[in-house]
Amino acid sequence: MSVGQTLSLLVLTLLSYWAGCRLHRCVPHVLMSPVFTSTLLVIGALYLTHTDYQTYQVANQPLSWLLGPAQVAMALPLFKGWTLLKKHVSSVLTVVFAGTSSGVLTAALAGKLLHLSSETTLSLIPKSATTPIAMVTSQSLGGTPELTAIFAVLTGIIGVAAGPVFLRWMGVQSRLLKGLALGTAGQMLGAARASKWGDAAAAMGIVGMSLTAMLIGLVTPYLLPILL
Amino acid sequence: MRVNGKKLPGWFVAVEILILFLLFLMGDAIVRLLHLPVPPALLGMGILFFLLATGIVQPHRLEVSSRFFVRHLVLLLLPAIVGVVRLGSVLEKEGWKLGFILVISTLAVLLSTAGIARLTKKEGDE
Repeated sequence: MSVGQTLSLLVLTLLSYWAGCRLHRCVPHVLMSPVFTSTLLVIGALYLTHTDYQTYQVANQPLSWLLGPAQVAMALPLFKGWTLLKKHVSSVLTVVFAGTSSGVLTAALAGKLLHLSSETTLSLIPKSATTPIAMVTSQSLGGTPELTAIFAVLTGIIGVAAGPVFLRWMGVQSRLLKGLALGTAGQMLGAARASKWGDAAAAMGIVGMSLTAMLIGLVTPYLLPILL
Repeated sequence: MRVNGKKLPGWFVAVEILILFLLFLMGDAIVRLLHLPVPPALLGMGILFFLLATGIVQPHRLEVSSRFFVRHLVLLLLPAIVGVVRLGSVLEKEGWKLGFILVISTLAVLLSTAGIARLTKKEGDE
């Protein structure tokens, strides 16, 4: 791959993202957010130029490297909400544990009931963890890490697109709880969305995200063989 | 860029990101050396939290990059999201089932988190 091609594929991502943000500012609707519009722009451009995904992904590796520091940076909002969090520690643990296990169990159960191949089902199970952790867990379960990466991101997108509406429908008022639920259900994207409800909600979102990732990464590889 | 009314030079973000990257690598190295069953990024987050809690790092030092990452997370995830195109053959066979499971399972997480929280009467604490 030439340097020119690598650079232009990276620029493609940046431009599509910029255009997506612009569009979202004009039409502020969930379905017009960059998650969808920028993705379509990139896919369209790849299709028109006959570029395969592998080439695109390699060129865009620098962006994926930033995911590590991005997650480390979440220590800051967590720190800001710490005093508040300490007050609710036991209920937070219970809530996240309940949420995470219901996510794992529904995915495993639905996969079985709908007769998915066991490889696909195993790839679905760690989907609520942050993308890198979900991938590693998928590997140790016997799933396909690449598939899991997409499921994890899609889970985040669904969580952010449907979460706020769904929680309002449930009549949830507390911003803390809304943040916690979104972080638990929608990994990094959910935690980022929670910050729109203020510092406290942001901290809760990060706690939900981190605890879920830890639970899935540490527990499912041991627990699952017993269940299935 | 402005933090607490003070103007910061543009390269400041780069320095912040570099520090965060080093913390991530530190987490990664520790996990590898000690064979810990902890994800490297989470350990890096833990280290930074410790540094903040002990006052070694001042929170405002990382304000700009932290806000940047939260706002533009989708940009970093975009290459992974575009990976949907590789789902082609799987989607053809099991597409609607996968979509169905992802939606149902994510709603189940939201439902149980909010539901359990209501039972343990966290609602209304603000």
